[in-house]
Amino acid sequence: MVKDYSKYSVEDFLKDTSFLIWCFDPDKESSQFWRSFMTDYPEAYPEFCKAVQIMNSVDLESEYMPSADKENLLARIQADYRKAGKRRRIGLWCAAACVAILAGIFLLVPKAYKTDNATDSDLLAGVENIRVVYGASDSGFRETNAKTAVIVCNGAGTISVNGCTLDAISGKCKLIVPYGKRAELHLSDSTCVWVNSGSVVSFPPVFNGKARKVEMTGEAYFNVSRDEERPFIVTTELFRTKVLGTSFNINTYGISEQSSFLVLEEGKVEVSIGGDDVLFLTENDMISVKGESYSIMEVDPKLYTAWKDGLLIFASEKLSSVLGKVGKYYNVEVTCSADIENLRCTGRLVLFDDLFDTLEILSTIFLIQFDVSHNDEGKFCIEAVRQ
Amino acid sequence: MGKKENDRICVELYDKYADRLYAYGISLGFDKEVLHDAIHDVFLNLLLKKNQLKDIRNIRCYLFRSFYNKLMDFKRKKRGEGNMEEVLDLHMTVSVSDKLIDTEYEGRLKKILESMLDKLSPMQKNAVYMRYMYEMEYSEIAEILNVTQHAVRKFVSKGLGKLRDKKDDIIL
Repeated sequence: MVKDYSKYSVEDFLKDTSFLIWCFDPDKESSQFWRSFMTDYPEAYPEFCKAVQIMNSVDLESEYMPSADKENLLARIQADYRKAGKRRRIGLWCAAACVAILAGIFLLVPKAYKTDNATDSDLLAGVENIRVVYGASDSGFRETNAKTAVIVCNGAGTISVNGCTLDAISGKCKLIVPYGKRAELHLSDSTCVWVNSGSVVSFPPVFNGKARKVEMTGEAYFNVSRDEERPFIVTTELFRTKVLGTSFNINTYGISEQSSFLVLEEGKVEVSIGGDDVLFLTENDMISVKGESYSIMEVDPKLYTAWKDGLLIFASEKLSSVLGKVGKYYNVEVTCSADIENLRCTGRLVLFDDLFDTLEILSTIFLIQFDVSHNDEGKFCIEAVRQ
Repeated sequence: MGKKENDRICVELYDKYADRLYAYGISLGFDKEVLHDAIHDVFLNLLLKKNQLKDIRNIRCYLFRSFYNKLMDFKRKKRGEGNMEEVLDLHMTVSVSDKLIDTEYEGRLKKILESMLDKLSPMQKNAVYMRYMYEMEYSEIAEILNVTQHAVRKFVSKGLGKLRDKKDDIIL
């Protein structure tokens, strides 16, 4: 029997295999089909929309391994690996041991030195998840595949990542936030740091000594809790910032061109460049550092700090630059054709969880559409063109 | 690549993939113990391979495939030789959380959707799961399930073809 699609209800759609498969795994062909379906059966359109909306709220569930099981299983694998290794190599052992002891003396030293100096861009390379590394030579780490993470130093030396507590840690830790992810870091002095995509922040689990010191690359917004006795010092490649209690944003994304900037939202900071002059900044000041030179101007800090609230704010900004920032947020390449790159916009753009929801807003404002393709590595490439 | 480096990469891969393999295995209906053993074997093999790690083209595909094969072997042993399905069957559970509908209706929809998903062929289910959860390419899915890429594509769009025929009927 042939069904009458014009009388299809929400549930009929949900009971339709091709509708379901399309919702879970849309492709060009099926999208085309449902688009022409809507034109052919306008009567069914309201019910179709409801069904799509419901499907948008549907998730496939997966049951993850309890973390204790996961750790035990890894220990079992490693134990069996050592056993297997011993069996294989037992004949070679004596000779190898002598060589290893001799070589170890020479090899281990340079290796440890190298790890300590691993640059932040090395740390970011190939990391997909938000990660906290710790221990000698960054040997231990914990990561989460969530889009955002909250990392809390409780003041007693332990750190938790999205509620999971790590073992007691001594020495510095590094928080690595890859492109397309963001994190919130609560330090032991209740200073809060919002860490943007593609950033690394080094921090101690507890601040000891006379100053509170952290290092960073990428972009971070600091809300430093006031402590007149212990200044808070942020070191970046080009400059060092000393504060007692303020909020400010530091951005070193331009470091490959030797440029970085700081925007002060509230209070006062001292900035020293290359260890020489000390500059004093006040509210709404932005300092741009390029190599060893710098400039200071007054700006609206909101334009530079809105990212932490999931917004981008633009003041007469070119479309090409808007798309660049959106792309950076979601870690996809978004470009536009040359004829529209000079369109400008002013206002705030909400960054939805889903990139395509955000692009839809842009397509309405600019009357553009987005062509999606995959590059050779299977990564999304999006190009904006005139509608 | 040195041994240390190799071991470190294996641990990273374990950290990233153990959960995914486990979740997939649960959906395939296996017990916890069997899954632990299978994951154990996959990663022990990976560690013992050492220098070959750099030769593996697509690590995600490799891990899922060897995991899948372990589970397939387990099922074969248990049932003995004989009639064996081509692709392991999968059960998907869904959650519905639409703000505009009440929980009772949500429960009903959940049941409908799950029973509909159950009606798909094992190949379709695996394809939907892999595409939805990990945005895998058809070629990857085919490699994991040890079937041709053509088979995966065909199975995914089979339902679509059926529907299109019906629709043409109405227009005529």
